[in-house]
Amino acid sequence: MLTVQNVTKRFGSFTALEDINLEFGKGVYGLLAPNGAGKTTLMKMIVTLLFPTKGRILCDGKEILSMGENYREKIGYLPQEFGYYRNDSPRQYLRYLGALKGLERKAAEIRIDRLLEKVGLADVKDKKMKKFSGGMVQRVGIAQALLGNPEILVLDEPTAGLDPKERARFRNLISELSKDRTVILSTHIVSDIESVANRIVMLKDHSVYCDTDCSSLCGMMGGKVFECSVPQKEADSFEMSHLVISRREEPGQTHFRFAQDGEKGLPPQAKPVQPDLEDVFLYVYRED
Amino acid sequence: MKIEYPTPQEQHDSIERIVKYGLPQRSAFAELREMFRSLGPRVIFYGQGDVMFIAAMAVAFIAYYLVQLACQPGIGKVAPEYLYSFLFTVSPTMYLLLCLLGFWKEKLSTVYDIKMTCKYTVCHLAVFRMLAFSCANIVVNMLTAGLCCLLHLESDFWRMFMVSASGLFLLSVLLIYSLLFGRGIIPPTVVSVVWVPANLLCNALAKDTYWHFLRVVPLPLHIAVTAALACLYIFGLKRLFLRKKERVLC
Ligand SMILES: Nc1ncnc2c1ncn2[C@@H]1O[C@H](COP(=O)(O)OP(=O)(O)OP(=O)(O)O)[C@@H](O)[C@H]1O
Ligand SMILES: [Mg+2]
Repeated sequence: MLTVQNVTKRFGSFTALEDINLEFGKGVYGLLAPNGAGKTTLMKMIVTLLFPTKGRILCDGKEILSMGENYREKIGYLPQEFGYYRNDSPRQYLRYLGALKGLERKAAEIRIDRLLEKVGLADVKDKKMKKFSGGMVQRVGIAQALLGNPEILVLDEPTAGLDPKERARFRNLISELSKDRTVILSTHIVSDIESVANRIVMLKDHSVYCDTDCSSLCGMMGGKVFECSVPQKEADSFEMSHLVISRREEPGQTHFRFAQDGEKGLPPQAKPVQPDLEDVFLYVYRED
Repeated sequence: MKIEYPTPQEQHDSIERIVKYGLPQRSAFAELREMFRSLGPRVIFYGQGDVMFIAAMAVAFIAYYLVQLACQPGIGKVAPEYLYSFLFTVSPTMYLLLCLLGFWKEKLSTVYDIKMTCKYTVCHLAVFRMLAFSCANIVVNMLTAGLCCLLHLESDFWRMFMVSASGLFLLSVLLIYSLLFGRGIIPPTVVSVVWVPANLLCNALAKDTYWHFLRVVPLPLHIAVTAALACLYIFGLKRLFLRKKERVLC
């Protein structure tokens, strides 16, 4: 159990996060927030790369910074910008990190083979990583985070650069893993979180905006999302006066999906629709 | 009679206390040994090959320079003050190159973040390497002093050795504390870059004091100062090992 208590993080005079309180139990937690909201900062504090300016983070009641290697043995981390040695093969690279993680050599060898299989890199495990595509490198990163069989898995945008098939494979892997551990992941790809996260944490204005599960989050938007078609001539003025989520051109008219509080000024042809996470995201982070 | 049973929290706290005070505390040295046993030299010095090559070249160059100096016509042409200040200034070169280039390599490699979250972090590796490089540098100093004797540049082996050792530990102390109290690896880089000019400047401005320390101070006092520096250095390494600051070596 991981507890973030009254955590504030400042960089000089700039406050990146203010008074964050969160609890992470078993399951998948999705961090959803726009660019620059402080997701990476929060994750770096959880893996002790950054220290909180105020407040503290506890693991099973103990301050993580004082736990030292006892805490580091529990975590697996995939940084947003994943670093690797270009001339190494995935196997060499994972062997090296396995040693640093204090794994026993033989056990590590077996685990490396299994993991590379799981992320679909079994047939290139001895190829130099400089010849890899972006998505392949990213999958080595995912394997690396899982190497120590961590209780707490922190993944910063793990699906960046993965094709739809690999994203599906990743989601399955995460669901399978999350049975008995904490997985914290951030992503901009709303559909990744939607299907896999048990809880969604949104950050807004340097604080926690909400911490709930997906369906109650979408429920919050119930009756606020509509769709309608507008003649092309009026499309631009419609877009100006409504909070448009998406816009699609059709022959002779334009189809809009938009959010709105209450029924005032609602076009008669507008139909309410089931909100999804993307609607929530766009609504919460709208520009006033 | 009713005996109050301790709550689970009290039980837990007592166990923690007993474990904390009852078990022998592992010393930093024991941890280093454990680390070496677990990782082995291949992992600890991983990716340091090119850095070591550069440092070895520098050492070879210094040896070559000393031989050149000895081969000049007319024995005894080299003034001892020149030789001693040369030894003092140049003796930590190998250590300095190894550490500094190693720091920069670690910083520029994007694997820093991941290595910092492993059981053995960049800090642990750096401490081990710095310690190993100091030892290697002491051996090189001994060889250099021996070489100077062989070449008849100067006959006082122990003083030459102690002068180079004190140079080494003074620089080591400056390096480790600039790392511990400064931000990132720019301060140690600055220390390294100004090391030679600062020595030249000392030599020019306070020639007598500088010279006195290198040549005239009784050897036992010289040894005591060097030992004090060495202790300070080990103490600094221990602090780096425990890392109480974010972004060390970054
Ligand atoms: N080392 C630093 N020094 C100063 N400011 C920083 C530093 N790191 C992050 N910031 C600032 O903190 C804020 C949060 O950054 P962070 O990287 O956590 O955002 P993020 O949510 O991960 O964004 P993204 O979705 O783009 O990855 C940003 O405004 C950034 O400018
Ligand atoms: Mg980020």
